Amino acid sequence: MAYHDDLLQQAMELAHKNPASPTQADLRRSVSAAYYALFHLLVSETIAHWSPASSRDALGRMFEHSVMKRVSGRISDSRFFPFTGEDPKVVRNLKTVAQAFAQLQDKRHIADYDNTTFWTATEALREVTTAAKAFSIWQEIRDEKIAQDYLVSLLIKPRD
Amino acid sequence: MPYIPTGFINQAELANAVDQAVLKLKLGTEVVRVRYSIGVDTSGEPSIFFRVVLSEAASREATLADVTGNIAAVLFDEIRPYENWGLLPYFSFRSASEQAMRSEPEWA
Repeated sequence: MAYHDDLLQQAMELAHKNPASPTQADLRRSVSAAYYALFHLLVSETIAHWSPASSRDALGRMFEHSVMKRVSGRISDSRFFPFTGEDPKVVRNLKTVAQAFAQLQDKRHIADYDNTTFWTATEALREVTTAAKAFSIWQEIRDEKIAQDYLVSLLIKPRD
Repeated sequence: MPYIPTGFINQAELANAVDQAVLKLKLGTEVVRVRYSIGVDTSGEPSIFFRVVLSEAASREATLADVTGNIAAVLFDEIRPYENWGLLPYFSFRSASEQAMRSEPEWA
């Protein structure tokens, strides 16, 4: 399995570990793994288009989490991305993936660093299932032009 | 709690917009209640944080992604947090039984 698939499976397993009494460590690590699963999926999808296979991993190191989050947030702002003339279903699906990424990154940060936030099983499972849904939606739209444009934009710092 | 200068946002108008949006949700069957706060996210961006308490039926794993996705979509489409308020939306979901055990006031 690809690394991002392994991460998603790990996230799912952690979220389901000890269902009667889940530990905060398991729930928080499940959220973190879910974010990194989607992060690595999008990175792998982007670099797959880079012709020389030998330099794909180096290109993959160019992604910045903060830039990816800002871009993903702006996808849903019709002032920046009106998507005029595009298939509404594809647009909706792309926004779902982008929103999932932005949300998961913020949740990942809280899960990894904020000891004051208590996670319930439903909260953690929601993030993991959101990542899983983003995976399946991505398979539907990955060949669409606006999805490919989104991947490229993840490497470009937005101008204010 | 992060601090956002309230002068940037008309709190009463935002509250009204949220109230109107919540009416579009399946209150009772899926959604027990919705609470929200404004603040900054982990990147320092002005944000609105929704906390949604779900019914037990709506909290089932098999449908959790779809149910929560639909709730988020309704709130997103009705409130238009980016365009109308300059806020990034975030959504958290708990089941009613989980909230009953925790009793955290920001979810009550």
